[in-house]
Amino acid sequence: VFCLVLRRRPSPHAPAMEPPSEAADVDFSEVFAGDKIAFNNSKLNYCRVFVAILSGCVAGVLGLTGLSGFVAFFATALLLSAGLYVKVGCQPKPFFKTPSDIWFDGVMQAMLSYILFWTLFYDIVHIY
Amino acid sequence: STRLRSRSVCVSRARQERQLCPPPGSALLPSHMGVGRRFYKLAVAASVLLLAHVTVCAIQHREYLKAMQQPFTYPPVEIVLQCALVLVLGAWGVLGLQANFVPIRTTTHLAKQTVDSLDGGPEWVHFNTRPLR
Repeated sequence: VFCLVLRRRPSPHAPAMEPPSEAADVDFSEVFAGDKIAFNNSKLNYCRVFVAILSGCVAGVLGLTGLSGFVAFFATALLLSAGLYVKVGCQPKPFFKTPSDIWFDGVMQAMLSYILFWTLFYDIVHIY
Repeated sequence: STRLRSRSVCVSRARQERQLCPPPGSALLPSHMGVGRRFYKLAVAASVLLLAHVTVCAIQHREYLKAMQQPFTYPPVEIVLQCALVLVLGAWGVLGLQANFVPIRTTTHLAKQTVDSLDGGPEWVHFNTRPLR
């Protein structure tokens, strides 16, 4: 993707990544690269599903049932989000569209994997 | 001329970027990329093996409780600790291996472009070295 770069007059105080404050100028800080968004989302999804599988196995082994199981899932998802937040250096803005994406994106998709492995390991340990 | 000045500015910026600086996201392990990946893979493998171990432990504990005819209330402390270790190791390992994000805004990598790359490159340089016949 080749975008035409508008070189403004060089000002000594403005770094290249700041959006221009004038309304007439195009705000290039919000021009996203689609392939990089997809790359970030796939990495985030991989992390979420992996930790959901692990926490599902752990919940099954510990014998959690009902609401406590779902509470455990959301607790581990929150811990993973905190770990991701630390990994990006507490600045999710360059890597995601909104800063809250790193906390909530992909959690619901990982829940299905969590439930699968939770029931599987509960059956293995406590029923059979 | 302005063209020469912008080229010299871009050269100095490129020289600055050539210095090695670790990305801000490598905070999980202080060493650089090549050596550190082995530890993350080891952590993930260890967490999976520990999960298998704790499953077997829990199955044996359940069988013991069935033999002693005691009800199952809470798992014992060592199983809980092993499960916590599985989660911590697995999460740390997968974060180190897979959570390498790239910046998504085009201004980030367009800001690193120099005016030399906009020229079109040396393919468009014409040489006029042959004598006219």
